[in-house]
Amino acid sequence: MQIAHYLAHFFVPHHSNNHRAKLLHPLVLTFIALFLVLGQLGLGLFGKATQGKVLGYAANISPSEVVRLTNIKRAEAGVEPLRVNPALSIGAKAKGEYMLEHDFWAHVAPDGTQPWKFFGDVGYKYRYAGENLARDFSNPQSAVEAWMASPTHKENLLSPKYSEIGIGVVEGDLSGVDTTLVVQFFGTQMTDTIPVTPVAAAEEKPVEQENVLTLSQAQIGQKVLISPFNTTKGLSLVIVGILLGVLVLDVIVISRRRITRVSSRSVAHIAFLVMLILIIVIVRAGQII
Amino acid sequence: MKKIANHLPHYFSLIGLMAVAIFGLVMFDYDQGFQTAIAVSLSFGYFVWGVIHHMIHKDLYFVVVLEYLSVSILGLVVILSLIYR
Repeated sequence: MQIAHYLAHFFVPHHSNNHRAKLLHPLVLTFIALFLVLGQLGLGLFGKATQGKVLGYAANISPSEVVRLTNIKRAEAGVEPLRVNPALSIGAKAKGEYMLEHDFWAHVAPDGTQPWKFFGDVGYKYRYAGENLARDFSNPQSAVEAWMASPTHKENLLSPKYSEIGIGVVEGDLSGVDTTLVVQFFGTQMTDTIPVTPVAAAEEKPVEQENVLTLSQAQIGQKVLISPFNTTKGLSLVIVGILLGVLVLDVIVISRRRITRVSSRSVAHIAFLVMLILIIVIVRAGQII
Repeated sequence: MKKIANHLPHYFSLIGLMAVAIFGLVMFDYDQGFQTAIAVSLSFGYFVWGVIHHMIHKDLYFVVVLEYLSVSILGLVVILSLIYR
């Protein structure tokens, strides 16, 4: 009896909760929001404590597939395909490993290291150079599609200024989460004579070192990890789903009992929560810069 | 149902706001900053919609404001936690 009373108090409009399920009271909703925020902080701390051994994004990204998809997009746009340059691939991989080693996710490192340094490190003397970055994508298609959706990344991907490409795919711990980074280097060598327009934003640096990294074309990231994104998605769906159910129950009970009360519009909240569920379902993992 | 029919123009504007937000979040899924701006605008817009709606219907009370505020904040937290994961 006691349990039934508690359930009614939390989930059904009742005289004990002023005819509004306790779960829908502002204070309880604020606590739920706070719980979600603390959950995110906890997930971050847990990731750091386990050093990317538990949390992560399972990925299956082959560099050659990224190149193939890039060239398909170029062909569709009527642009010449890019040739794979092994030195560029080594440079791209080195950039990815540098990001993991120094725990950052950006074109320019916190210590000021520019992406162009990695071109120079592998002896690539460029006339034009460009870089696209992606992380947390589960497959090459979604990464390339995300780049194509962004005007600046698309410009790099389809630019006729570039004749060569190098892809680096690296996996490791980035801020406590096991992450797969995709580094896409574009370039045209000084000796290459592609008829093009104005000089791109890069300046040449002297070669500082010989190739010291090995290029892996193997597919990586086959281990199963707990995805922070999917965990957040699942938890959000459960919470919003329960609230939606309680709101629908609220509308039914209140209209049947013809209760007059001071409250917000449940129908508006239902519409808002349905929209939230749509957003939760639609939003995809993966970031590009 | 009659009550909802009376509020129909208001609900159209609410659905319009939500549709624009969903469209923006999908179209700009490469730009976290812009997605954040959309999420903040959406939750603020929903809160304002609620307040204006109840003002027009002359049934705006403090508890009503708190209810819209808490639902808006919850929505914002859910969307931001997904964008930044």
